Amino acid sequence: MAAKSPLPQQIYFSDFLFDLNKNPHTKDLARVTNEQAVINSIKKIIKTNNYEVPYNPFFGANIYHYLFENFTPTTELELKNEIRFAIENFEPRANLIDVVVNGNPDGNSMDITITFSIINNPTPITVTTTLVRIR
Amino acid sequence: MANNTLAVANLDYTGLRSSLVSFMQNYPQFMDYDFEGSNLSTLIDLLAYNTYINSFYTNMVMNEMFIDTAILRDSVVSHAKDLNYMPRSARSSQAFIDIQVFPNDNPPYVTIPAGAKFQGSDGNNVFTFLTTANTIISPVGGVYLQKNIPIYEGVQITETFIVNTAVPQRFILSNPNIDTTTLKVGVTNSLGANQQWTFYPDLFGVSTNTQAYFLQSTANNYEILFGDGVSGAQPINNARITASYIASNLDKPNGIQNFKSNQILDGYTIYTITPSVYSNGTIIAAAGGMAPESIQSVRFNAPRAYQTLQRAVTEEDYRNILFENFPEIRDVYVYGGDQLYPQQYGSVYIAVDITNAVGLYDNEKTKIQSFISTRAPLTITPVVVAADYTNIGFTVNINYNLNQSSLAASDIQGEVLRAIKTYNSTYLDKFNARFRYSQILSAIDNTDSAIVDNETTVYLIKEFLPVLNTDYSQSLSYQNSIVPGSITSTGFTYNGLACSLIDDSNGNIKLISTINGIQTPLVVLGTVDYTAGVVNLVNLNVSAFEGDYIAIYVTPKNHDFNASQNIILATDFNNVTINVTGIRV
Repeated sequence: MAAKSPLPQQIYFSDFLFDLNKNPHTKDLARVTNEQAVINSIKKIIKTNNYEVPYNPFFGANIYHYLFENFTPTTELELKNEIRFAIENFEPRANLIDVVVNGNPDGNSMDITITFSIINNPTPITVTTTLVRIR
Repeated sequence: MANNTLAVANLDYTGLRSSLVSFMQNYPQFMDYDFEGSNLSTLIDLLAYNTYINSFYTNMVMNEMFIDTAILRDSVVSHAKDLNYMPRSARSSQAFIDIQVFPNDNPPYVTIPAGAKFQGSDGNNVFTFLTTANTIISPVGGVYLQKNIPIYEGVQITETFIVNTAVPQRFILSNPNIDTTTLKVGVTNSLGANQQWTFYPDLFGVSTNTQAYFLQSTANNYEILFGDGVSGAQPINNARITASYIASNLDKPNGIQNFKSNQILDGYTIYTITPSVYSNGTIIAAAGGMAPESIQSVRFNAPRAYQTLQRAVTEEDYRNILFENFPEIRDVYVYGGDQLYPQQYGSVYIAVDITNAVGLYDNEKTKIQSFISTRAPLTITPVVVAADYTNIGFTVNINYNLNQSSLAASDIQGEVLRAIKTYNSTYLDKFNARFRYSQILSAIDNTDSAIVDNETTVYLIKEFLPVLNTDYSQSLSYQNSIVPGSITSTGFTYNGLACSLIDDSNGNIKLISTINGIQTPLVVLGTVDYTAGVVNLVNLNVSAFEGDYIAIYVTPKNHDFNASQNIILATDFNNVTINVTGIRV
């Protein structure tokens, strides 16, 4: 989709919540807007594995399988590349600034910090998420 | 202007998704939504996937709804059922054997029981053949010999069902290679006695008490059906249904000529088994084994069978019915008896040619005749006749330009032979064929651009197998005028002399002896009608002959000629000579 120019005090990006919650006041479908819509989208992209979306096998960051492999010095770099590739290809509204991956081998988890700005708005936004094995 | 319509022609997932996305993007409510990574994109994916599955399913359903487009065998068979057409099952290869038993106690007869097993071998594979009926061999002059005993390749399978009228029940025969012509269905009655029920292809002649069974095809199997007590008798509750049939190895055993058995036949172990022979002495090899009717064939035959309605009235009816019920038939030609001389009014002649077989053996002829008799109009007598071959020989002399081609003469020769083979399969080798001289000339000329010219002579050949050491008579009809003085024959021995036949241009067939290249006319052994194209041989007493038969060669008077009635015109590739000369022009 072609990116929209941000205007002050204006909703230029929208999305709804993944669990389809409703707005308690309007009883309509709850919306997230602007930065939060893009943040949700980025989270969704990095948590999607390849072949999960029908007929679009390369969509997603495909990073979950790293949790089940030995944590080696190259793991962080590989993860960064996967995340960078996914955001650059599937989220045209974000300008990626940096990706930091901190592995926690003892806790079988990885902390991922993504810094980006929304197009036409240079303010950096940071998203942090943690990937943890559940079994 | 915004495109706010949905494209409906897309059937692929990507096209459907993009048309949904562009449709939504044109609505102000969705202008601030992203369709790539957002949560909304998940719903779009779901919607597109659902639409795709629906369109695929609808497409498949529509395809399967019509016999022309259906792909699944189940669907094609089901459509054929609407047209009262039952797809042909697999067929067992059938062979005929002569058995001579040598009993040591002079019994009144010897019985070869139904189910007696014989091994047929082609050198690489061994197949089991069975008899399906008892054969009684009565002695004639102390010799216990029975000729032409039919045997069928395959294994005998028996399936049993117990009728339970309390629940809906289907009697599906499990083996997909069943030959339904060998199926026998027995049903026990209230006294527990097993009775053979009869197969009926339709309800014609079926009354309340008729012990009839019907067959219908499922996707790959056959199902036995019974009457409902109104149209045909209904088996009682707890009746035992026994279905026995032969399941075959399809076409693999076709061509087998060697048979033996290790069984004790009616208590006797000394016997000989030889393959049966045609009247001309050729061995009858196993033939007729084939796979179940293909989907394409069902698609073609079902509407035509419906058109015919199992009645033989027009020429096409005869063809359709015979092709449907006798898959071993290669070609059929039907003509009225009024075309014969002398005329046979009230008769319809059916010329039949069988695949991979020479002639038509008596059992097959009787089978076809009795089958077609019940379907022809009352006042018509169908007569089945075997195909009679008139062969065509060619001598082709070709000049080709060496400046224009780097091919060797043998390459040109091979290409021309291929062209003649194509011509033969396209225009000849069938009933009612017509040979056009100009067509064969241009087919040869067009074989290669380097061919400068061709000079082709054509002759007709009829073959016959004489009875040795007997005054033998034979009439050969070429159905086309003959050039006087053109008749020759292959060699044979007559009164100890190496002889052949020629004509004297005055309508006589003469025997000639050739010694040291000098031909000596001996006696007249027949006549020739040059106009009608008929050679009549009389008192031909031959003690030996060259090759497998005696061939009579004639030159046709006209360049173009045809074959009618039961004659098949075909190229004899043993009599095709191609001479190629390279020239520089």
